[in-house]
Amino acid sequence: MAQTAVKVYGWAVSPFVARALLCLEEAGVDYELVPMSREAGDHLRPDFLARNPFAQVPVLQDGDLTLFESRAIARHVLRKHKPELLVGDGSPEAAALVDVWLEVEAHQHHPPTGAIMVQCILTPLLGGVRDQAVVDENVAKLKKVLAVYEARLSASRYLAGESLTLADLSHFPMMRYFMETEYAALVEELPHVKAWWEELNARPAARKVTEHAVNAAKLWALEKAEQQ
Amino acid sequence: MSPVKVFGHPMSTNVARVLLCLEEVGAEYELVPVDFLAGEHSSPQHVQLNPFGKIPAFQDGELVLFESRAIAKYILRKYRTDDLDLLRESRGIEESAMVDVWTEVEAQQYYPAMSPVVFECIIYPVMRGAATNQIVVDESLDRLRGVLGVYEARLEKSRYLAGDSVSFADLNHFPFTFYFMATPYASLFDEFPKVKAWWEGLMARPAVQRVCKNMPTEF
Repeated sequence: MAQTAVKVYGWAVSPFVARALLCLEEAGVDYELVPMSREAGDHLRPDFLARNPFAQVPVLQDGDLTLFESRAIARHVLRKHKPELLVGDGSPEAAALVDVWLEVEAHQHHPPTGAIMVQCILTPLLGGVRDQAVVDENVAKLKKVLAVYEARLSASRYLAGESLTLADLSHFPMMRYFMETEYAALVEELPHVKAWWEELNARPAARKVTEHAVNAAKLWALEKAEQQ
Repeated sequence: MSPVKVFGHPMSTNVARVLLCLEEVGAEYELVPVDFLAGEHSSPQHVQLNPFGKIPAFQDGELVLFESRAIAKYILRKYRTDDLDLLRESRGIEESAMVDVWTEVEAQQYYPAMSPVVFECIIYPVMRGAATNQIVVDESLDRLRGVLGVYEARLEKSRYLAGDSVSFADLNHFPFTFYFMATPYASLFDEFPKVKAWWEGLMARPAVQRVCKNMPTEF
């Protein structure tokens, strides 16, 4: 079968782009990251809107297939290249448990984690002031959510069962930023969640994705400094 | 084979999502009531089924699941036939990818734009006696108009969101849109003829009609 080029469009600092890259790295797929600039409004240009009419990154181009929404991209990459990370042993029960914890990531974990990350990291970076009330509200929510994770990970090696799956991996991008905030303690005080996080963070694929993001952030900071 | 069980209330949008899939595949099921107005979703009994204390929860024999989209997918796979594959997982990688994309679009673009209108106009007034926050409504309507513009363009090129026939991606839009149509802003859809026709097509489905029967339109 001919190898068609896989391209990911986006900025590597985005946790959503990171989700796509993580899956490609885990699956060992060759890809090209086509860098885009948020500040230059690359995502608003007609040629990009033709790929993702919602004007968001990432976009994945896999041969003739153009996909957007990082969680859909993640599923596609693994379905095609490493299905065991998506469906476990392939039984209906195993696949369902992966889906359960993928939905938990999207609807229980992401909202408070993302809100904290936006207030504590993104807002100051863009020259704004964090809204502590928003942070406090979301810290309270996240505490309750993580208590469930601690119970789950005390009973199960990984979220969907005894093997690592996309359900675990999907948490990595947002958590990597969250763990840079002062609220990392919420994870550190939960032994099973902490161990699970550390294992995710140590995976070579995760290290690679972090390297992309850190390099992109350095480049951005350099460009900003040169503009001054 | 004993019927599967859904724990929740038929008025709940996420319960309705699961019930719709059960109705579409013609599965036998039992709806076990959870009185969320009385806080039953937080009871130890329910938390055993859904550790996040939300509805729905689901049981098929020994298997317990939560998160409505995960439950729905399990059901659609279990009852899949050659003629009825709403996830397109047997149709090849590209088709199932498109279902995933537009399922995510519902969750990440459509729902965040539409749901505040439903919360402000129906849910908060009914459940908390709260007044509608018109600023939130207006901002959401603006956002929703943008989203529906994208849907209109999509439905000009594609009969349904993920392809030529209905899929899980389309069905996911039913629960919240049903309630949106009970707000004063239903006429927004008149601005988008393809979207409106697509919605009316969904509403005409027998399975949708059966689920609607247990969802109020007046509050």
